[in-house]
Amino acid sequence: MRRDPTFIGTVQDVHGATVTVELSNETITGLGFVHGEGYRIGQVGSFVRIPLGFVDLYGVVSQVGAGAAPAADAELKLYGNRWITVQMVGEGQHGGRFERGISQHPTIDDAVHIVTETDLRAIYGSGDPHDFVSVGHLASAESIPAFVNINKLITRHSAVVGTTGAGKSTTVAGLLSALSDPARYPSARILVFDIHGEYSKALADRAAVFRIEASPHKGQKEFHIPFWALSFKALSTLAFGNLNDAQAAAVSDLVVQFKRDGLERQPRDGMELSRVTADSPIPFSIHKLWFELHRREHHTLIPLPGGAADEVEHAYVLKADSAPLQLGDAMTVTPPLYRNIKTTGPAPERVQQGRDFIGIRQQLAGLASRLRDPRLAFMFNPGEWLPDLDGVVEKDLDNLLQQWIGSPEPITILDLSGVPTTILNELIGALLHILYDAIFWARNLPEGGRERPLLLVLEEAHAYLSKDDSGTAARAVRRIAKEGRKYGVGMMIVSQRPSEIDATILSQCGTMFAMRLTNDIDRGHITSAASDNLKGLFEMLPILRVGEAIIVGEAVSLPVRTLISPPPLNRRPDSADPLVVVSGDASEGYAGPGGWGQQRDPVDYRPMVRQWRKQSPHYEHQSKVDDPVNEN
Amino acid sequence: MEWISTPDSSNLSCFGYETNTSVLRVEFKNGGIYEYYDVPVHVFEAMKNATSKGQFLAYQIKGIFRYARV
Repeated sequence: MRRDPTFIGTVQDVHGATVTVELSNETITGLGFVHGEGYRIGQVGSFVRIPLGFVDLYGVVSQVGAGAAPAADAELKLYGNRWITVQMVGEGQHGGRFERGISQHPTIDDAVHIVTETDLRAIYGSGDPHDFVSVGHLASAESIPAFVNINKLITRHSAVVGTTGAGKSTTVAGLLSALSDPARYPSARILVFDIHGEYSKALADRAAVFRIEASPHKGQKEFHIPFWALSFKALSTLAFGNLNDAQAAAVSDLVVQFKRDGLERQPRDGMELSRVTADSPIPFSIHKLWFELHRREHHTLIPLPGGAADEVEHAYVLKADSAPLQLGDAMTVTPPLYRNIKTTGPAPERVQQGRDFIGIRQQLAGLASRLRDPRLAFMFNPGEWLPDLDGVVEKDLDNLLQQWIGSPEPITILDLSGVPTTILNELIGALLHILYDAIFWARNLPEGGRERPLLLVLEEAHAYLSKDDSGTAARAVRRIAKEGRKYGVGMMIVSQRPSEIDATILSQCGTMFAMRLTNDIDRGHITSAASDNLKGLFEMLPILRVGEAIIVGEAVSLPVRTLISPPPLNRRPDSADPLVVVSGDASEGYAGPGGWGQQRDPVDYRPMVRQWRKQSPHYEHQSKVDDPVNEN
Repeated sequence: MEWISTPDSSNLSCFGYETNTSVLRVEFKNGGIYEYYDVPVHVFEAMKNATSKGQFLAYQIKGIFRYARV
């Protein structure tokens, strides 16, 4: 048995799941060869096998050398500190299924072997092949694909964490292209919240892209989220800002009334008049709401001489021909002009203040400016989803949902790079709410999440899921993290600052793709949130290569150090580091037209300002010949 | 658009020309795609005949025509 080339040492100490192994003196540290394949022996993170009767126990090397030697070991070390510490992770029948957890422990002098490619295949290739998707290959052996369990990966949520430049976006793009492989998963359903607009290029061939100020020639579609689909709380935060309870109640009463009126004009299946609440996804005109509230707040009255207290007329500012100067218009957000209050002087000249104001002049002014703001048009002026004054709309929410989660493409990218950052949190929260509510109630339908699960990819999650953030996004994500599994909604949280993400959310992520992380606090956060007690493996986080990830958790049978297959070069996300110096020389040409190493281009900063004003990175060239200003 | 692949070039993978708009499109081996604007058709013809496309791009096009990354 000692001649077995895979043999490396014997068990000397067993302490719970931690096993200390003394390497045999014949074992060469460094490279060993088994069946012509080279294996590195005694590498932290590599696997060992301990045969025990009919089963094989498997473990991960977590420590090598003097530190791994038992404290009482005082005898002369002829060959140095030839000790390794191993964390037991699972067991398998000879050539059979691998399972997590161990049913028996090794004892003293049990033989320890390195794990060969055949063993690894048995471990990683175990189980029903339908469940597994290859996302890359093992960092230690290029020929062995790294499989993850797609069921657990998606429904038990996952997190991709890593420092900027560790290859996060490329990894996510690689994962998404593996998960949306049209040959294997023709009905994949993935929705990406793309904060920086990086993914549309990487996933162009299998994604529908929605964007504010879309460029239709690139196949992008305009992103709309009708305000009337939001819950009242989300809507009032986005539209009014802060309202106190009394003010919110008054506004909500009016919203319910308008929604009822709208429903009466345009009945909707499944909704009865009596069940309408301020949260019901029923169209109403927010312009009319503003107009009505503005009238209440600002209007002034002329009491009719000799009349009762309620016999009044509106005190409009009048033109010379005694017609009102400006009656106002709800759709263009033009307020009517009222005369100022006048309580002295002869009775016919007196003007009284209106009686039913609720004291939200400031918030109304805010709403008016938001209704006019073109940057918010995707919400308050949502194209075919804009209700007219009677609350009648051309298209209903089913068109919207179909666009987002039912398009012919497996992936939908919501490019949120044009959304003002001040409302990003509320917007993402509102979107998640709409989607989750729809999926939740449709759970028994083929469109629902149980029959066709939905994966939500949340990019740059630290921006809106921070620890002390009680915003709508964090609330919605917490809800999905806790109960999404049952209804087929999974999340993939992507972040470079895991320590800033709410620990409750992170701990719900069953699978972790930990890429290079240099920050101590971030690492600690990840180590404590991961479900595997393998601290030694996480010590490697600062030294991982670009594109390398340690996958731990429910979707993998063993924690595995993987190189995720990146998408092809021309399908990489737009987040690659710009090259300061582009390689090449003048005789052969350069690998690109930019960089500090090449001669300058003639400059014209007008296009720069044009792009800025357009708020779009897409450049449309205007020929100099057609532009006389350029001639000077 | 007519695409010409350049397997011999160390940096370019292919390039093409749109006659209506006078746009020269160049795809680099590292995946970057760039458009050069207002390029006359004779420059494109010359590029087709150039022995080293990369050198031609560096000398005859770079610094003369405005470009943008696609």
